[in-house]
Amino acid sequence: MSEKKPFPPADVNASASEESEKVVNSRRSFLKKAAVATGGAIAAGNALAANTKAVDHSAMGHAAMGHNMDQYGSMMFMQDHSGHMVGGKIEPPGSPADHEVNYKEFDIDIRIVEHEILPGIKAHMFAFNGQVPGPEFHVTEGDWIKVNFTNNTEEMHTIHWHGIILPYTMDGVPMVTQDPVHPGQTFVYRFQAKPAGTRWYHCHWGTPLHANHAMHGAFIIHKKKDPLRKRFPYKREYTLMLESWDIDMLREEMNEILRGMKEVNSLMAKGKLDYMTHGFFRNYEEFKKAVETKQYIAPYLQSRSNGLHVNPNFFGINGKSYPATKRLGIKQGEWIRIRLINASGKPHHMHLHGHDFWWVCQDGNDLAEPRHINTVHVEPGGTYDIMVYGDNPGYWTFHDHATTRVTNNGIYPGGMLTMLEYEDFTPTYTPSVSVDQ
Amino acid sequence: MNPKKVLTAIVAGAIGCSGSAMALEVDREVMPRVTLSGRLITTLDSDYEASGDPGINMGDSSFSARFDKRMFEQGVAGAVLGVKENEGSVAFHQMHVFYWDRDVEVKAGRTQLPNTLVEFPLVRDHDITSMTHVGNGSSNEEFDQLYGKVFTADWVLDRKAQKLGVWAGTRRNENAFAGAPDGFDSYGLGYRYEPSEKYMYLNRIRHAGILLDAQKDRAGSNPYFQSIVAGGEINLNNSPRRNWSMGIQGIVNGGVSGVTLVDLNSATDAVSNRARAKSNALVASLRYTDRPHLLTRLQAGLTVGYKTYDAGGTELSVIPSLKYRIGQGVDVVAQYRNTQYSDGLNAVDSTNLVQVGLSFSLDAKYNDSIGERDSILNQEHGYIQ
Repeated sequence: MSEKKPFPPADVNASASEESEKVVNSRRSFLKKAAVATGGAIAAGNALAANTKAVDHSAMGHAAMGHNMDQYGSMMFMQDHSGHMVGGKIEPPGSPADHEVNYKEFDIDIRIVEHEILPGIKAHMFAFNGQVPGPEFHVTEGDWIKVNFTNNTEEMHTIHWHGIILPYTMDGVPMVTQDPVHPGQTFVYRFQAKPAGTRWYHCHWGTPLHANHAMHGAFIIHKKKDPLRKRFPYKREYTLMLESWDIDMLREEMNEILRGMKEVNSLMAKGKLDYMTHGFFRNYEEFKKAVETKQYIAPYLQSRSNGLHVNPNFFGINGKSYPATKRLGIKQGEWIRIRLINASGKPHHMHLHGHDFWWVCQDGNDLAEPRHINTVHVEPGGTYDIMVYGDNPGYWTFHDHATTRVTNNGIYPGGMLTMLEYEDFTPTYTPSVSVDQ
Repeated sequence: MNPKKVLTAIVAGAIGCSGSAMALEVDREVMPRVTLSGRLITTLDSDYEASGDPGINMGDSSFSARFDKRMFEQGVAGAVLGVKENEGSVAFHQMHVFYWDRDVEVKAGRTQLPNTLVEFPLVRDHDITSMTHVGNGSSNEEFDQLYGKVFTADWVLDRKAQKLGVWAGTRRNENAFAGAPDGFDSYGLGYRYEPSEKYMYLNRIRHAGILLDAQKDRAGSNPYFQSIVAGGEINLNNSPRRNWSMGIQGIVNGGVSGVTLVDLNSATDAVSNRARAKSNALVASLRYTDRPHLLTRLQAGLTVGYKTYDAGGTELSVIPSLKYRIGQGVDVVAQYRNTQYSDGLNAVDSTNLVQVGLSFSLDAKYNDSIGERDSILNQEHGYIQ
């Protein structure tokens, strides 16, 4: 066994509401960092926000923070729009203003990092706060959430809050609910954390590349009183983001995107960008006419593209492939909760050796009746919660049973595999590491 | 630089392909990256090969296959095999092995001579070779003005765009002049500033450099004669949408003494004699590229070249050209070339050539598990081996 250290579990006893009482109430909202479980990676600092300039929507016929839905809209089609898209802070309407509710405030950014999937395999990735997956949020149902999202890349991005019921202007779908967040811009998402359960967030721009290849993170909304604890009295919980990477497609696509965006950003800075360059159209009729008159040569046409072929060659859990994956710790007689989130875009069939477990939630919502199984089918985009009881001491693999995903570049074993380790027993056989079978 | 790395680079570049009798086993599981590239260009020429009659010209058409593999420790090695139209037949213009990593680029074998710096907006590479390339004093063949057997080593000084290079090679071909030197007959060194082409519309300087070229003369005691090449291309407006750029290159050729105007007009050796003659050449171009929605559709160029020989005689070429893209890699091309000669440097004092045609280019990569040294990610966000 190369590494026996278990995941640092989220401290579910320290609820978000309790944490919020520990910080100074400034700006009529709470600057929260303690509620972020993953390495405290969401910085509380607001230097980036302080350096950005607010976009004056009123000067362009919009209300800056007017909360008037009739006057809020895309800036993409305004004359000389592109000059206004550089830098700035976008605060859309749809949620209460800062003085109306107590927001728990988070700063999150996107940047490009070199991420090591396992020894010898690194790839450049777009990463929230520089980590893959992005920071894990733990909040309490009903909390008001404010996220200052700053784009520190040359590409465009958004954040979609997957499974959270919120105003549509906060849903993060480019050109459907908001303009994409341009390089250097800060977009402020405000919403209430509801409903409770295992939710997640991901970029909704260029989803096959962005969301499936790193721009994803867990958003856990705890109930103030969790009824599942009565039947499954767990104290430790683990969040596992299931991932797949086509690192060759990722490299080539990111390079091509950056090349194109350097040119786009250059024109944008001069206020000379044609909105059609990026495939933006006012409506379907405008798009149809542009294509039919050959004014616009769409990138999906066979004269321009053979298509984006995504063939993942690495699979992983929480940013790592086996044997670099972190282990899950358990003790005899202990219940643990495992939250599975499928960010990979592929179905996965997670099987635990030596145990039956209880499948208790799907897409964040409690099942009417938990099911006793040992393989749970985790669909793309879905979240599945299971409860495991420690009654069989040993080392037990937990992996995708679509076994081609338990490989590293086609070599078994690897990929989407980790281990459940009992922490309180004396092993007769100690696991080692094998990567070539 | 790590001495082991230097040794690896030199050995990989110098040894070349082993003969089959010496070959070790090859693991079929490790497929190379395969890049197929080439261009087939056909033009209708108003004055085919100076015959005064129109004809079909397929010159400059080529096809290459390149293979790259990652090394165990670092770097990438591979080979290129390419064929090109040459005076109505087909010849290998590329047959070399190479090695590259973050710091060095090495190749050995048949490939382009490092004897020019700027690609001007012309329909074909060899349109005005006598002005754009250091000539070959040991061959009259057009092909040998562009290609030779060379060993080149470039050190990437800043791991990005600045390259210091040296080379040694053989310019003469199998039909060498009697008395031509054996072995290496050419050497050179140079400095080139070559940012990734990903930035070509954004940087003020697209590329620039200076080269020193020395070649042994084919005659007498084979004295060396030297040329200096300096040039580059700059963006005039830094716009990726409607881009204006200007290229300029000068070649000062020290030549050998004793080359006369009669030699320059030799019925059989005019090309090589002009390469051996003391001369100065200057070529400048203006290029306009139209890229609606950042998709290249049109390039218009105007190239002017002037060359003067110490022995007498001048050449002046004016070449407007047009490429209109009708599909990815498919261009309708048109070019007019007027060249004025003085002092009887040509049978007639003025020639005119009109060319209209179609160019089909391809650049297809398969099994790309490598990436490029000068990619944006590698250069701006940390180099990944």
